[in-house]
Amino acid sequence: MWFKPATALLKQQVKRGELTIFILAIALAVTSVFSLSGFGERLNQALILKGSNFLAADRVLSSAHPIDDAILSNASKFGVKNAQYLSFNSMVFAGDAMLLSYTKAIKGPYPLRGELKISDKELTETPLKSQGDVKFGPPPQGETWVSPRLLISLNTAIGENLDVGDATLKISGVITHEPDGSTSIFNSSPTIFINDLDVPATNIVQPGSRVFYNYLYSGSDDALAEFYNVIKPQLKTNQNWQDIKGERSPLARSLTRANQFLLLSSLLGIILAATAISVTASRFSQNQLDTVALLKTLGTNDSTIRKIFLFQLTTLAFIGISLGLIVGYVLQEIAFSLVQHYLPQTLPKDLPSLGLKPLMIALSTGGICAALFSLTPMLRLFNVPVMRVIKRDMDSAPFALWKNGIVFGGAIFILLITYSQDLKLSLITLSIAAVIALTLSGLAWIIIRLSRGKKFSAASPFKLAMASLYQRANQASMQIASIATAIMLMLIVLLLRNELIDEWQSQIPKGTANHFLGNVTPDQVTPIDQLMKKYDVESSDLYPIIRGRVSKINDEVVGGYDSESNVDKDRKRSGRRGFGRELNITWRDAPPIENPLSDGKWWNETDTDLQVSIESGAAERLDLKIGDTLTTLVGAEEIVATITSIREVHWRSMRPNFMLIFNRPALGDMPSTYISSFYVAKDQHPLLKELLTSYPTVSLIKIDRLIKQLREIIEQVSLALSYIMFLVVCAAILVLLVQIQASYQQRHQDLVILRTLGASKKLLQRSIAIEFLISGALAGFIAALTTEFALWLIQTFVIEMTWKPHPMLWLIATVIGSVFVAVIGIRACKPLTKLSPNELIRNLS
Amino acid sequence: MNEEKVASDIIIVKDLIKQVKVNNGTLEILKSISLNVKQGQSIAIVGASGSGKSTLLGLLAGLDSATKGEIWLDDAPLHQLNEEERTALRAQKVGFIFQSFLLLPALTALENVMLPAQLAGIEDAEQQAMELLEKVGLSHRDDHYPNQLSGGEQQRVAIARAFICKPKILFADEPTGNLDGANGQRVEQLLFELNEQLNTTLVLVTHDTNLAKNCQRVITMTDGKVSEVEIQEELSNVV
Repeated sequence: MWFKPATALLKQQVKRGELTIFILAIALAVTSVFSLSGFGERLNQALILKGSNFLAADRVLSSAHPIDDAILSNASKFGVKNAQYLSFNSMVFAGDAMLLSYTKAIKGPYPLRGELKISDKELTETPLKSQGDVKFGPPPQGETWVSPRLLISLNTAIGENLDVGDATLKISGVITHEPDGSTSIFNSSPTIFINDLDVPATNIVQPGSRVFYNYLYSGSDDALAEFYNVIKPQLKTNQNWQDIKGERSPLARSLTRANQFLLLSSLLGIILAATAISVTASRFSQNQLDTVALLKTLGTNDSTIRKIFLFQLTTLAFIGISLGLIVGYVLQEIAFSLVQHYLPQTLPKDLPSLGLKPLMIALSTGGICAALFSLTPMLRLFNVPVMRVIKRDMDSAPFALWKNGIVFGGAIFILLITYSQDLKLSLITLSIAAVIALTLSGLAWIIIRLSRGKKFSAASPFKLAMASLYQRANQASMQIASIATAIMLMLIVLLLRNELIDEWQSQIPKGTANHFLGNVTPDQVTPIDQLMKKYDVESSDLYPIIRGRVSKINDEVVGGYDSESNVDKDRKRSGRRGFGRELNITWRDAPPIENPLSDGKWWNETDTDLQVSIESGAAERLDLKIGDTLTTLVGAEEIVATITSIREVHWRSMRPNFMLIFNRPALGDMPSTYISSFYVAKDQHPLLKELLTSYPTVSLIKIDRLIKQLREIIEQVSLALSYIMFLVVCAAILVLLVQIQASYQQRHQDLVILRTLGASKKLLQRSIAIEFLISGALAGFIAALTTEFALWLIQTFVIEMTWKPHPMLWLIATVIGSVFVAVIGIRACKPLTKLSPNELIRNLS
Repeated sequence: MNEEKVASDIIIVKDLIKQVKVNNGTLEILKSISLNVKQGQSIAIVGASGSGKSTLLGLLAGLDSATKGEIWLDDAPLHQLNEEERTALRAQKVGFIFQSFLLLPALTALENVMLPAQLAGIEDAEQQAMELLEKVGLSHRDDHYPNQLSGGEQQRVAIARAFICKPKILFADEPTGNLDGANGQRVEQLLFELNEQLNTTLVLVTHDTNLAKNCQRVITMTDGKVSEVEIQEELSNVV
């Protein structure tokens, strides 16, 4: 009974084209959510599939220094199984070819959890994981197992020799599955396994070398907890107890976080889409008031009317959601193929299907958008009084603004909870979104109101444009806020991609070091220095490097962690964070030339008391003054030194830079390796070869590559942000169009009056163009203002660069804003300027 | 044509035909209308709904173009002008008053009154607008927006707007149609006062018998044709 009129009415509405935006807005919301959550979910599942045993054990204790056997022997008392490996980065050689690799020297029945599979045959086309045999424990002494990538890179094969430091080992197997393989996207060093007993022969591990001792444990949860309780008091703060429950792989964790962040940012686009939905729904309901009043007069009951309109809403939502799912599916496939290049090699090739979760999130988003954002307009429609057929100005009372706000905010909150599943995060994000929305639209509103003056002739296009903006100040400010959000995101992407990196690179003068040299033993210092001179290469001084952690400032214990999952809250609250981690520290007699002193006095070589010089930024952040004492933990030894000078450090100078430099009496006796940086021109490259062949244990890092890697990371971040930006721009266009559509009737009437009073077509076209140029420029201006503020925040507090204004930013934002809005606005209003004044008498009188 | 034209005729209509296309052919709304109006005359066009009154008004004011025939407006051949030229002519010589006032909501009362003068490039538009607002009794509300004014006040602003360019001809479409008795009378009084003071030709379409009675001539439209009512007393029978 209700179905036929419902379809007839819907057809008529669709024909008028007004509901296209409703469908598109729902589709946009669903697309963004489906693509982002689908992508994240697949990636996550892929990583989980890889095995939950990222640690190759239940718990891992890791430390930069060996841990006393007396502590470790407790394990057997509690029936906890253990194994260990030593890990370090070093250069390996096969003949003349060399490669930086990640070495694991195994001792005991590694792995305690998960599978280590080694193949001693040539690899076949079948999936890597299905090849090879399960192994426990290290390779036999004198042998090594290597990752497939190393064989390819070094053009070598099973049975050949591999030089690791001073030792020559035989490649006896290829790693086909590694339970705790490096999962960092950007860590590209291939792994090799060696026997712990071969380590001394390599000569790589010297006192002070940058190596990690990893102690693996497995057993029941209770036994592990008891064991931990016993050893905990004896552990140093720089020794890290990792728990598999809290700790998935860093890759999985960072990707999950990144994805959650993107999903929440996409909410910006969804809020804008929701605005478009809400405005279209209001207009739809406004247009249907007469129809509903008439239907009621003709005796249609409320339930039938509800059915008619709910049918229409459901049909439109269905079309929008379906469209969104299709586009979203395609987009996440594309996104996946784009990032596959960066995924770890060990990721299974057969990726899991999408699963139900993203689909459910997308469907609920579509449903919530369609239902909640059109709820109040629909309720208003159902409540229209029948008397409207006689008295046309009779209307159901529109919802109070605050009620609308509650419904709108509530719907956004439900979406937030769905995405983040975190109440606190949702509340914070909702507040931030509300503040941004209110600030942006408030700014726009104030500017529009302030610009109302009598200085211009009523017949000037500028006056008419401003009057039109003023007349629609509320809608215009909403519209300007949406465009400003889109421009703001675009500017941030643009600046992130270009300016920050370029600025950083441009600050690196020509001839700045392009290589770092590390792991140099004290006895190598003089010959390496001579080698540099032979090739006429200028290098920085060689700095001894020692790992240490500041544990006390004067008598106050400073923040730190006794394990990743067990934060010592009292200490963390002490307010002097930043010293909680292990630092690279050094000692010197003479002050570094490139570190001018800003306070205090550099020590004399003859001083015998323990002194330290601190970097000025750290001193300021941690409220440290000349005369304060720092207690630093190096291994098991505590060094108590007095701050006697404060230095300015240019962190991006590509030289070895240190927060803390001690004098010789403080650290001179500590075992250490040395680091240095130098610049090698292309014709000096033979130096590198001689350096690495004569001193295979040193590590050489090309800084160019680091910059390239950094650029790649930023490219990825920009790509993700660009996607969000794309969604937001689409949503902003929808808001703009929907606002123009909503103002169409009023604009129509205004333009016809003006035309009748003798305004030329040119004047009307100009006034429309100026109106959109002004509102676009305003959006751009507000975007520039907020972006500049955000940049100031980021540069001052996050990356510690000196903030300076960006005049180009203001220009670009204003131009982009005005062109963008003007093109869309003029295009959308074109039919209006073509009207004949005759319509005045026909339609309006 | 010119030899037939009398010097004081400000509107001359000859054999005016307006046809519109409908689903199954054409519909003739105006059927060969001829009409002359003298400078300073007031003329009411009355007739039943659908008789073609508003169409005739639209054609006389140059808002629309005729299918056939000639319209001369103060010696300008309206039928030969394109839309832009007609618009320019309106800005110079024609004023309008509408039933639903049609003020621009974004402009103040003063700005609404100034608008046609500024469109026509008159220099002391503001001063003239203030004088006119004074005349219609609204000078104290010059900075009010239309939504802050009552219906009667809005129509008085519209009258001020209509007279600001000292138009030779004023077209009014049901000027009192949306007003109650008292406000209607006030507006009517103002309309005729200003018309007389400024020697404007007034062409109005109305259903209001009293308003039509106050005009010097009354034209009746029936089914697209005009006939003139000479005797004022007969008017009540027509409208």
